[in-house]
Amino acid sequence: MNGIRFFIGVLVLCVAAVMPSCNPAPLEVNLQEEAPKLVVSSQIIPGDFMLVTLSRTFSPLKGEEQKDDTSNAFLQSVLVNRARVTIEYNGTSDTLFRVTSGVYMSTQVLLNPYTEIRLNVYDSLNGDQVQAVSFIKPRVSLSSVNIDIEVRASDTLYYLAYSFDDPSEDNWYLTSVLHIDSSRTLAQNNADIFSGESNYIFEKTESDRSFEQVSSRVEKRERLLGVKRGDTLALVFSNISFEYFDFLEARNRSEGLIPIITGEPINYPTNVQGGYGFFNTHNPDIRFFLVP
Amino acid sequence: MIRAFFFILITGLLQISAAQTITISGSVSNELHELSIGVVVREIKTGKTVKTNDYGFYSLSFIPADTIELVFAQFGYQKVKKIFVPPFPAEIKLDIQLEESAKLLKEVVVKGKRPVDVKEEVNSTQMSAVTIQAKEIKNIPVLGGESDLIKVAQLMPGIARGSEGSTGMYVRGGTDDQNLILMDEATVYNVGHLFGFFSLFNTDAVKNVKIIKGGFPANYGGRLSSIVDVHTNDGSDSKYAVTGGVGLLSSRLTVEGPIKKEKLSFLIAGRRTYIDKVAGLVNIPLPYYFYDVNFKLKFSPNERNKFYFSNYFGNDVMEFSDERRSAAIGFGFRLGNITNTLRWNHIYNSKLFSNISFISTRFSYDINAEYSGRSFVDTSLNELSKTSLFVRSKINDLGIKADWDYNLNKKHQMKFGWDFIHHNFRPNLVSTAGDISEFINSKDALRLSTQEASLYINDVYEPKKIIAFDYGLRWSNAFVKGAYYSGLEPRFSIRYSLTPSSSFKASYTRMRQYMHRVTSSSISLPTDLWYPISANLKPQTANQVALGYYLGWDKFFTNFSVELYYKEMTRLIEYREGARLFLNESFEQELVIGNGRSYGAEFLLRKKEGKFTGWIGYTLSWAKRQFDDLNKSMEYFAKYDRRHDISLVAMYDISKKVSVSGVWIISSGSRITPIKGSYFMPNTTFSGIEIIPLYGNRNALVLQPVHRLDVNFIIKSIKVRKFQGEWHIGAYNFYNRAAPYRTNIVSTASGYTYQQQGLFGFIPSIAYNFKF
Repeated sequence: MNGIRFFIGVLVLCVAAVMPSCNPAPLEVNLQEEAPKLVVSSQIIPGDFMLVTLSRTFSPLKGEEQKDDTSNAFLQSVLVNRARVTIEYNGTSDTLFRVTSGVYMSTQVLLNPYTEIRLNVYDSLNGDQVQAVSFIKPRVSLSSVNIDIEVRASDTLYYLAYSFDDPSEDNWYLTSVLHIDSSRTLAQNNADIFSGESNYIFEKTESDRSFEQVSSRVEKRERLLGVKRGDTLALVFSNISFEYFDFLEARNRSEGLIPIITGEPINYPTNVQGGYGFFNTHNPDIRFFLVP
Repeated sequence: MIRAFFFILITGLLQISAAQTITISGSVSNELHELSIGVVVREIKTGKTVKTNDYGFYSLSFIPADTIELVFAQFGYQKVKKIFVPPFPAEIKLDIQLEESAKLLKEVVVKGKRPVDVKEEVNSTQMSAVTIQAKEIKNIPVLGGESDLIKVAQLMPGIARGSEGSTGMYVRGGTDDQNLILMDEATVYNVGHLFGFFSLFNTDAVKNVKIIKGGFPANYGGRLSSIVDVHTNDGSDSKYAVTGGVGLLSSRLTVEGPIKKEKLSFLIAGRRTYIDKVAGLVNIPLPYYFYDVNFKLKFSPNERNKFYFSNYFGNDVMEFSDERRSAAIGFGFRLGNITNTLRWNHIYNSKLFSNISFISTRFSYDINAEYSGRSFVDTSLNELSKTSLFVRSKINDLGIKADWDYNLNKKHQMKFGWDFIHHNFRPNLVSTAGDISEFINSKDALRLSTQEASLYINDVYEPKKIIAFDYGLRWSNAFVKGAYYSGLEPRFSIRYSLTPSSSFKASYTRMRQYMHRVTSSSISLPTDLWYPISANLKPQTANQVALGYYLGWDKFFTNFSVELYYKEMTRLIEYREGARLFLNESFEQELVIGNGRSYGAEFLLRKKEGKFTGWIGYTLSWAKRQFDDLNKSMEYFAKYDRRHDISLVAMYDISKKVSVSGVWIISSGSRITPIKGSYFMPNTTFSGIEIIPLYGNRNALVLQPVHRLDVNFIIKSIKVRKFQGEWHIGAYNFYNRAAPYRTNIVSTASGYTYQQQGLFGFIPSIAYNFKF
């Protein structure tokens, strides 16, 4: 019996040794990559300003390289700095000014609901231009925000409870909770931008068709993971357009294990004509608070 | 159209034959008394030919000449010739037993006698079909040395392979779930072991397999693209026999014999992989194995009645656990099929034969995972948590099927019958506890029940020797919650003989499909579930026309065929990009509906007899899809579209003791959706950025062509009494060439670049088979 075991063991080891050496050499392939195009993103800070960022698409090979690049030099190389960026609404036009690399700002944004805002971008360096149109959705404000604390024998659990009134028409909501760890410095918290780490506790997109409440008042309660007393939280709550909801859903679907296993390609929708990204004009309700 | 069809049917049937017509009927079996399917029965003087049906029964009516010369022939068996002289009775009952041709192989070659089935393939009305015998399956080299009928089927023209080494079949531009896989008439829902790398068919238990790609007879239905009809051995009712084999990955053993001689016989065949045990001996944890068992009973109380009970069950099992000081993890799954078929064959008279089958099928899987230790959801917690997940899904079928073969007269061979299947689906029973229940809720499984019923009639009408019609009609129905679907499926084939050894054939068929498998577009998993159509989801249909030219070279025992086909498919199902299918009961929201079409040409040159056998198959094909919600509504190529596909299969008997076989394939490369760029996108609050990939048109990139050589040597040992052993020594991917299936970005000395990865390289194999 021992002899048989020894023989089988040797056989397995031989096979194990031979198999990796028999992996066929991979074959080269040339992929036709697309010429760089402009990428747009935007953000409204209520009562203050609108930010528009501009960058260019790049080769996935370059994207792979930048993972090893901690200097942000690659990011700087794809940001667009010589562009004329204008927004038009209600017959008026406003030219945005550049505040830093790839970031353009307007301080005169009207936030009247249902206003159509048209974005025009002309990149004077390459001659590329893109347009996008977005409507301002009515702002939905939070009615209440509370942190519920559940003290257990060995741990304390934190919950975020918030409510709002859902208007009668179809709406789509984006809820984000950001976390500033009190045990880390501001610089450390800010450094997460390029490191791939996220300072989100959670983010969710929802259609009001999925709500089960009878009245217009919607009440939510979410577990806050990894927070502790003294941390700062920011709750960002937005009534977003269906098109932007669709864009975020594509992003959500591309996350997780299954898309990685299946290699399923997911194309993100865009409202940018001639480019990529998304020009959105939702008007968020932002609340900051300290974990008690 | 339908009136005309019935007119032809009825007027055809009314042509009653002359009084001098005689009928010869009976059954054909092999030396183990197992009934033989597809044996060619030919009356030489009149040229009248039939094949034994799926139950080994034949019936031949004709007006005899001065003498009757009846020949029975099948690949791998010695021909049997019977001569009758006048006076002839009106009916002759004749049961035949065939003997293996190995003993007479040389004689066959030297005399150069024409095997009848060369001609039969030319003269049959059936087109777009291939039959593969167990012997061929066992001799052809495949991955890991494990003989596999699905892998052999993939070498036939018109059948595209899925990813390398998998048992996926994509027939004439169809999808993998458009193949009806039958084992002794029971539907098999998941044909793969080991994530699809091996099929569940134990070749020691398989008698033969018939694959129909088009020109479907009316007795088949339920899938759009192909029928794979697998028949298992009955078990000898005359003597005991044992066959088996020991391979690198698995071993198998089959025992058969009489319980009561020539009345009651049994067959039991088992197989198990033992890579887990072997790896365990050298302390490598590999907690995975699969096993399967085929069991069959045959009872022949008298000449007119035979009863069969077939059972298959098999499971893939994984049981992994790891316990350390801080945490314990357990993960496992068990997935498998069970099929049961109880058949009753009854011979009413020399012209009428029936088969009644009661069928049950079950496919199920269980997944369980357990974790105990620090919370993985909130790592800041001190309290230890215990988390568990259990998922179960299953599908159960119960069905009854009745078929009659009626040899109306010398010009008409009829089939008619009906079937009924009750499907019971229980997808996604979920039970969770602990942390994971914050994300996945426990829930009872949905209960979905549907019923399928169909009625068919089919007639082969041969008004003259040079022309024959095969026409039939199938009426299929499906009852689902809130909806009833029904449709007529006409089937029509014509054969026109140009010469005694060449013919032209054409066919038209319509197929409907009332089930589909929920799977990702890029990879099939064993946990993919089958779902029925619904009130919102209508049945898929396919219309196919095919034209063919067939030639039999008597001198070389060889057939040649070329077929052209065009197939249109409607209401095909795909899943929108990034669809969430796992544990998703609202999966219908993830579906998109579209159409497909495929066309192409298939060439097959096949030699079935002699020292040298094999085939060359070439397929030139296009497979396209159009979905309003995919690829910007533009038509695109299907995932397994292969422009060119060549298979060369050769088996040569070097001597009585040594044989060699080889397979060389070359085909156009796989299709993938290429990545064409990336971009940075700030997250929703501008507090971070992420990289988003940009993809090109769906399936637009063709990877490099695939070519591969597999070889196998068979060395037989000296027969000692009844014991015969043989060594199979082979190699998969002999010259170690990558068969690309995806692209990766890799770092090289000159920077980052794209590369195409292959899955399997050179894999040697050795196995020892025996029988006594």
